[in-house]
Order: sequence, then C-alpha cells, then structure tokens
Amino acid sequence: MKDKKVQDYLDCCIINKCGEPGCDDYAVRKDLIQKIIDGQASEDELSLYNAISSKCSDCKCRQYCEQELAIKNLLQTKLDRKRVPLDIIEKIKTRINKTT
Amino acid sequence: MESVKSSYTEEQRHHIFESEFLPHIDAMYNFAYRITYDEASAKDLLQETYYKAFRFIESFHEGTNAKAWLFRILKNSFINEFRKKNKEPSMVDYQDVETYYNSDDVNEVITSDLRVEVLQDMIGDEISNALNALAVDFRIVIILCDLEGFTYEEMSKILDIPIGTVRSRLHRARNLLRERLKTYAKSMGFK
Repeated sequence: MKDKKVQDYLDCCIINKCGEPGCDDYAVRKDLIQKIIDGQASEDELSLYNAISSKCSDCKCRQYCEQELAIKNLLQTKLDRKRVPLDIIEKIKTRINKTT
Repeated sequence: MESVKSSYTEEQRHHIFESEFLPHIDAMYNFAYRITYDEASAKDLLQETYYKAFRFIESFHEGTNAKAWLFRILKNSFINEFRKKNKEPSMVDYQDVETYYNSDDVNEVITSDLRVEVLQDMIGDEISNALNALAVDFRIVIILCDLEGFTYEEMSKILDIPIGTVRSRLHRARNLLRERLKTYAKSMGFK
C-alpha cells in the first residue's frame, strides 16, 4: 500500500497521460530523473525527459528534478573554490626531488 | 586503476608529474578541504597524496584519467590514515543505505517541497554548512559528482564500490542535503 504522497506522484503521470515511454513506469522515470540530476543522462534520455516534462504542465517529477538541479547549481556557483597555496606546491616538489 | 605496471625513466616520471598530475592540484586541494573541513589537514593530505602519486607512478598509465587516479589516492589516504589518526568513525551505515534504497520508502523522496526561488536566495555559507553537515561518505559523492563532474564509472573506481552503490549513495546524499537546506529555509522564515 503506497502512502498518499507516493500515490500523488504515481497519479501525476497517469492523469496527464502524455504516453511517452517511461512516463507511466515509476521505476523507469525515477532512474531517468536521477541520471539527469547526476549529469549522466545520454542525449536520447534527455530528449525523452524533455518530451515527457514538456507535456505535463504540473508534472511533479519535473518540479522535483528542477529543484534538485537548482541545488546542484547552488553547489557549483556559490561554494568557494580555493587555490592551493604556492608554498605547498614547492614543498611537494622539494620532497619529490629528494627521493630521486 | 590498472594493475599492469609501466616503466618510466626518471625524466618521464617528472614529465608525467608536471603535465598530468599538477594541473589537478586545485581540484585536489578543494576536495581535501571539503572532506577534512580543516585547512592544515587538507594541506597535509594533499602533500601526502602527491608524494604517493609520484612514488607509485609506475601504476599510472600516461594518457589515462589522471584526475580520477589522484582522487582515488587521496580518498584512500584519507580513509586509511587521516581518518584513523583523527579517530573519526564512518558515519554511514551502508547496509542502511542499501536497505533504504531498495525499499518502497524510497519512492517518497520524489518531492518538490523546497521552492527553487528560496534556494536561489541562499548564500555560499549556508550551502557550505549544509554540505559539511553531511556524513563524510555522503559529502564525498556529492563533491565527486556535482563539483568535479565525475561519471558513475569514475566514481565507482575512485570509491571502490559498484556503480549501483554509487547511485544509491548519491540519491541518499541528495535527500539529506535537501533536508538540511529545507530546515535552514524554515529557520529563516521561508515557506
């Protein structure tokens, strides 16, 4: 027995009935969404996702995906990227040269 | 990653080190910092990693994925030495993760209960704190995937775990990160 929240998401695609492969299969859709979020989807998979989501104006899977991609974008744009201190590079080189 | 060893001259060893290993040093330093959360420790870990990379350079095949190879050494150094030295226990019960991923409950995570506009208002410190609050093993997969852009296959090799486990760990890590951000958003009065 699925809880209500899960059932809502399963219903989402049943109600919208875009008919795209994978849209009505929760496991396939979940797998596809995860690959997109993780940046591992192929061109074909991206096309499939776009075809599905563009037909569902209130697609909860698309909302979920967009939310996760927004978090990913935050990580990529708002976290400081440090430069390694130059003295560390020198220390590494010195240590290596001593071994040769 | 390969077990077959190459044979390099001294000149070639230094050439590989300069041309294939050093270009990744900033990424390595950031990775070390994000998993130790301490500047001095990150520097130590970085030096140890590069020293080991040079010592074991025969195991590296020129032209293959140097970045993944280096990240793997750093991750192993962290687990085998740094974490042991600092007595930090692993916070992740992997059996729990696998059980979670394979259960029906996992369906529940397809939620969009944190508005994108709220996320966009967050600043770097808040994101950083949320990431750092994750157990290190979850933090590592997020860093490797989202910040360093490794593929499932590369992450699998770096972490010495099957691709399915990489995916399940990533999935769980994202849920935990989202929960942290959601808690923060609520504390700031966002709905």
